[in-house]
Amino acid sequence: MKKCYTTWKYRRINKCRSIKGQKRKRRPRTYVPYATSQREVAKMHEQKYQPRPIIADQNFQLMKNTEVVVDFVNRMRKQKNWTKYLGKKYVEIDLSRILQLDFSAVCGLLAEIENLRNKGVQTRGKLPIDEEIKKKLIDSGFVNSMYDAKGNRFETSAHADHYITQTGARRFTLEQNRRISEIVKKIMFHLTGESKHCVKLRNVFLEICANSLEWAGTQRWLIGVKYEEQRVIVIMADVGDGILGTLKKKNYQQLKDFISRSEIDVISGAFDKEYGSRSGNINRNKGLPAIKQAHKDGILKELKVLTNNVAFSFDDVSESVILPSKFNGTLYRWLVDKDCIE
Amino acid sequence: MNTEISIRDFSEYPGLRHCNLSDSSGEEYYHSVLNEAFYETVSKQTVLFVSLDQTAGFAPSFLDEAFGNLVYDFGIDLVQKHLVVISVEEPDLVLTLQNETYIEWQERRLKKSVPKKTKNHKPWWQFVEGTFIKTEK
Repeated sequence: MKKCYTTWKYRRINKCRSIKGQKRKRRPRTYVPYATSQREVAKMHEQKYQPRPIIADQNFQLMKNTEVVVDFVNRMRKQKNWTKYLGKKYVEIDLSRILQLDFSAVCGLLAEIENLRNKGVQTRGKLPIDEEIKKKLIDSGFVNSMYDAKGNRFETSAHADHYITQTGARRFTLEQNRRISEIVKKIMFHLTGESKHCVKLRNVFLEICANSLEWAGTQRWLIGVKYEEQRVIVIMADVGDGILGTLKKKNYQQLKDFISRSEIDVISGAFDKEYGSRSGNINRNKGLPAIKQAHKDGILKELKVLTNNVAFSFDDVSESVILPSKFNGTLYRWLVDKDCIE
Repeated sequence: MNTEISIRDFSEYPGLRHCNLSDSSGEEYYHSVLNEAFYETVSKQTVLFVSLDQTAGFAPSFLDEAFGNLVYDFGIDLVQKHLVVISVEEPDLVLTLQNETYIEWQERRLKKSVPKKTKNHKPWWQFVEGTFIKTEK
């Protein structure tokens, strides 16, 4: 039987308590990262919320238009391009004008979005207007942890199996280790029809993850795999100091590099074990030479590395380019086909 | 009688170099399995066989840390005398260990360049000035 308060004081207290309880029940349980309710969107317009979106170029391909994509990613990182609303930080990106897109650009962008999320900066923006590019972007897994304007997750199509993205941070767990083995088995199955280990390919994944965790400042890594007919494209990216920022150079090497060597030569030397690692120990700096050896052995094809302000090509060093703006991190991109694993 | 161990018994998915970086790391393998097994083998004057097969594969840093620490604590002479590493699936790894890892870590032992420990391990064996001692650091 419900208690009936007769005193005005206790009636008032009970009424406040019951209103609070009702409000608590009405509050949504799931945390939505940014304004999705009609009420909040209306508030934003009322208060003249004016984001400063960073607009992506029409040709948003990391392999063919590297400078533009690197510049876009760098602008996302600048605090002057962030906006603040209701105590939360946002960066607005506008991908609506994109007409050409490659998977490497998607992975590079995703790595930066994860990095910003780690810093408490949410990413908002517009997807491409072109339906084909939009579908490609959604299927690639780019929006897997994002929501649309109504607060719903994006629907992926049947072609979503053609892409895999896997991220990790701080510590390489057994679960992540197993998932990398599963990715390698899936690559083998796609190319040969048999689901089996490929130890040499797995070693490359592990070495790059190890470098990201130990030397990249953010300790985060990302793997992207795209399955095409007869071949697989693999991207591995991290955000941090890049290879040039983690080399330990002796004094004479610093002088020599300053006088006569370009950054491309330094990167090439790093993969040839010409420099030590930041730890200073003689037994270190084996990861980069191991990756180069894997390329020499034919396990990785068309291997390209984007780090600091260098886009380095292993197949033809003359195609390597020094970029006007710096990419804060390291991105590896290579192909695997049947010839690589036989 | 010679002893045989396999890294597969430690983990099917060997990790990276240090404990703070990954599960099933080379550092953890050395301190939890290899150090004690090697000491017992040397005490009995037998040979320790370590198999690298039937795992998903190794990051080179795992083997470098695991076997490198062995050379640092016991010296290259004892290791070459009482340890045999077997790998049918990846014979290159054994060559890398013999030609690079052992030599580099022996140099570290002579220079007394102490290996990095990222976890508090139970006391482990070292061969210092002709005697076996247990150390915590």
